[in-house]
Amino acid sequence: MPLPARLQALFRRRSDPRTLISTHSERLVVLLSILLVCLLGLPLWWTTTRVYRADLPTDEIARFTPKDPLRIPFAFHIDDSADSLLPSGSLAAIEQGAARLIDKQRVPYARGEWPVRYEAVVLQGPAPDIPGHYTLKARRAPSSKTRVSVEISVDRIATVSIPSKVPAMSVLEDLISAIVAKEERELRRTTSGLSNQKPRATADRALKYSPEYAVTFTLLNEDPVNGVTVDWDIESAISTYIQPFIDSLHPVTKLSVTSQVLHDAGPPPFKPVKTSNQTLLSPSMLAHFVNSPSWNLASTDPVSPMLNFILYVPSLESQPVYITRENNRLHTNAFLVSQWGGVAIANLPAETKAGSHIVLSSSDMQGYMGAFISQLRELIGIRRYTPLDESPEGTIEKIRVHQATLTGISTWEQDALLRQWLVSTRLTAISTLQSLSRLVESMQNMVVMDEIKTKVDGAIQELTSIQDALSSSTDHLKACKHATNASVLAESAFFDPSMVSLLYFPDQHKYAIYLPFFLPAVMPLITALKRVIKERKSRKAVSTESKSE
Amino acid sequence: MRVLPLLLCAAYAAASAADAAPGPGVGPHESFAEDLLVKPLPDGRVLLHFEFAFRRNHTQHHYHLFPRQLGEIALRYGVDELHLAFTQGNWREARWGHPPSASQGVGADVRARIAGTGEHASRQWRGLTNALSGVFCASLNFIDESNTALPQMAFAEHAHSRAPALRQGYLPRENVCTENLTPWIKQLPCQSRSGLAALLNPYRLYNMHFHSMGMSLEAGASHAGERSEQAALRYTQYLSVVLDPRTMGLGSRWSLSELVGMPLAPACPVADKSTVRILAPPEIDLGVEPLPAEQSKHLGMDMYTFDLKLPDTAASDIELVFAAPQHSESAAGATQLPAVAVHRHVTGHGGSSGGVEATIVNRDSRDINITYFDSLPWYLRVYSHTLEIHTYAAGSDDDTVRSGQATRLHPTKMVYVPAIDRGRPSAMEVALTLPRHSHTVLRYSFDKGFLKYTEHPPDANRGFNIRPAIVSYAVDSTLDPGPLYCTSTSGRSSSGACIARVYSELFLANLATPDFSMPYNVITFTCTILALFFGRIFNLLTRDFAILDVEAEGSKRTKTE
Repeated sequence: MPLPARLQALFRRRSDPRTLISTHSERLVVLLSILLVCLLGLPLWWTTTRVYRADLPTDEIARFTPKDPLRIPFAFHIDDSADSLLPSGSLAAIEQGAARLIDKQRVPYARGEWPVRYEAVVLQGPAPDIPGHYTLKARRAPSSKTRVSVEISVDRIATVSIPSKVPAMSVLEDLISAIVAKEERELRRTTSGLSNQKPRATADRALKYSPEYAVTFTLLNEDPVNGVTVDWDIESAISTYIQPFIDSLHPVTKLSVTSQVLHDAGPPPFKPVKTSNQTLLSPSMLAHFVNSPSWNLASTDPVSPMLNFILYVPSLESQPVYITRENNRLHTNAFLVSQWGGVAIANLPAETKAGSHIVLSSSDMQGYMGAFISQLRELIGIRRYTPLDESPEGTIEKIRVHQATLTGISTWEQDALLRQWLVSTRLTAISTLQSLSRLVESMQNMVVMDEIKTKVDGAIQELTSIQDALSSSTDHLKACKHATNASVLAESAFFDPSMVSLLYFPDQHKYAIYLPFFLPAVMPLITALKRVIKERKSRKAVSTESKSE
Repeated sequence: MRVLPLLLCAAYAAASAADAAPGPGVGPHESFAEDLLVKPLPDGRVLLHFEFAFRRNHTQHHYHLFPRQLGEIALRYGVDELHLAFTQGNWREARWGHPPSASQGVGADVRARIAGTGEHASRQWRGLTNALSGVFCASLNFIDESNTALPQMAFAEHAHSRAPALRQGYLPRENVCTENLTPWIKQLPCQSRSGLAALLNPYRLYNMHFHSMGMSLEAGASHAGERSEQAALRYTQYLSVVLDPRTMGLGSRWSLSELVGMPLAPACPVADKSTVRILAPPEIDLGVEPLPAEQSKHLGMDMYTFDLKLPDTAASDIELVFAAPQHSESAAGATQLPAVAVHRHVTGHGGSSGGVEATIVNRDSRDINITYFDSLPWYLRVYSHTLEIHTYAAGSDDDTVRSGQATRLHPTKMVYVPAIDRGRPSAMEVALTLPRHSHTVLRYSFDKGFLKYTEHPPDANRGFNIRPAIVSYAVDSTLDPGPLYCTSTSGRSSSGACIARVYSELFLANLATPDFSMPYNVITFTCTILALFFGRIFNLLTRDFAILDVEAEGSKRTKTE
């Protein structure tokens, strides 16, 4: 019966109560139609309240596992044109021999450790000027010499002098395997901090790779009022001592240098040990040295990590100030602060009078700048004794490694740094991608925009091209660039502002929105349902009763 | 941490180490001068104006005196000119005369010319305000496009023809406190250990009537008077504060260190100049002890200059002796007041519309050309056609009395930039010629917009502070010596007349404020009504109603089932 008619009937006075009543089937229709509306509405509600989630390539991300080692080949170009020591076809034999020796020296990788396998490729002729390609010049030693000697220059060239009675092939195998295996050992030592193992102190000192570092040199004068005023000729000191180092690192990372003078810095926040004619600083005090809040060392660079180098001029009355270790005076008078920078203490000449103005010239600062360079090397992660320390290896009895005295970094060191960064940034990129995919998986309410997917795809693309760059052209610089791009993309995807915006959309709020409507609306539905069921039962009972009767 | 032995010391001693260091006169040069100006005010209060001026003639990344952080910021964001001021308290120009600094509006005021155009410059501007907010621990990062105005006429005097547009961001609600002072002091080469900055005692500086702290940075190339190839950078940090010695229990004789609660420190050793100047207005009979070597006339007042670089003044304190007892209000009339004053207030009531009424007073006996600049946020929707400008002849010498007939005044030039919702504020610039001895009233109305409920600030019922209007005019130096910032050594631009700026008061705009728990209330309320309605209809559909015959059924009631 339609509703208006029923309402009409309700208010019309009728004597017979039975005429008004709707049938039970009608009531069921009403109930079912409401349920139907609910069923149809659910998908609509689902689509309108759902958050947008781009489909991240989780399978591809999961494919990067510690099971597949990163293979980094070194290309050694053997140049024996002067004496032609090697028979033709011996290159493959050297390669195999070196590979055998490298495998023998390799300590097996533990579970959870990301393996990196350094390999050697042996080629003919002089090497192109690409990081990863090295020339080995094989020479016949003068007859007077009986020992095998190797001279490693700063330019990716090693000259091997081989006496006539020693087989050239085994010497070259030894040299190649020594270089490659040593680097792999060193790399595992420094990157072990990235895996689950306990980080080592040496690896901890260096900063993480960044495409740019902000390097600040600060001259701190403790007390200009009772002492002297100081200034420095930092412009020429930097161009003389630091600039060559910066220039040679330029293809990989940029060091942007600034300097400042803090004329009245005040004392450091601890009490040094003062004796009659000198002041001593112990290593335990140095830990608090750079913590002074009044030293204006903050960077204005929003992204690049900062490296601080402080030249500290103590107050005149406490000079000279020395750093001591186990009662020995440290002749450098400088110390390094892990991942932060370095400090050198500058004592002025003893005859300096209070109230004078002193300008430290470039040559005055030579020692301090030398200390800063070695600290900078350490902070960036350059290893000493690259590619080899000077101890004998196998058949090679004498190794001489040239130091890069002009630039402060040899190409061998630079390439090793490159490979170290390649491995660590690749790992960073992979772990960022994996945490991102875990995060997205665990937060079902999180919006994942298409840009995130594009960035993740790009990062995966870059990660796969690392191996391509390594295996096709053995260009370690190109591979390092790919790794950097991958980690930049992965991090910008992870830290994208759109990811955080709707992270918090808790269930309580949803209940608070839905309950006020659904609770009162559902109550009559449930009671009606109950009544229908009850009536059905009673009717059945009645009908069975009547049947049985 | 491990001490690192020097490894390469000798190795890196390059052959060119013999290069001699350039002497102080050659090559990159930087200078620093500090100055404190003490000026007793006619009503018994004292103005202290600290000024720290830096100069450098190169743009390398090496800083010897110049604050590195600000130099880096200027280079990074391509800043041609930058002014920043944090102010608290109104400058009472009717009592105190010209303000000591060009920016005196309450709140934080950032103005900058940034090289480049369009989107790039906007990005640099956002970067700049964020960097400044980091350096000065202020909420300048809240300056974005929606509260940045680009005035074209009001600040035009510094600009050469190719100067990039000036951006002005204003936060009228910004409070100034020690947390801003500490980083401000950190920029000084001697910090607060020596020199005049040692007098900056926060306990006294914030117990004040007016406080303005700021900096201005100008690349020399942007000035018409200087050659562009000499890229000099001028940077000034200033702090002006008006203190009341009487509230500190100081009578007619007090010393400087008693006033600031700090002993006078020796000059900053690296400062080229370090002076304390005491300026005695003619209407105040002031004695200074000890008398300094240098006495002169400045702005028509006696000036005593103490050079802190000289060893004999460095140790002593400076005492000020007032002959007559300090009287407050009567002396005010004697000072020469600035020629132009501006007051602005809001009119209208209710949450839907209102208006602005600004009164500009010309006290001078000649006509003055001024520029009135007012920028309202987008949620006050200005009707520019309602702008009316009337001028009245001033009655007697009292500022507040208007007399005579109102005459309509027509602007000589007007620039109006309408607002974009959530995009930019409106900006109104009106160039006017004020008749002598007159009051000019500008009126215009606005509608109040509705904000989204997340856009309201905390304590939304208080209303919104609206930034001050700014009137700028050229000071006639023959009649009026002009404000301090025009005559100080560092502040004045090398070319042209002194442009004085007067800031109006802030006003509070009350917008319709929502009940912030409203969204949930609305949801529950409507849901309950809907649910009740649903329940009724549902009952009607599913229940059976019958009318019972009362006689027949006896005591039973109407409803069954």
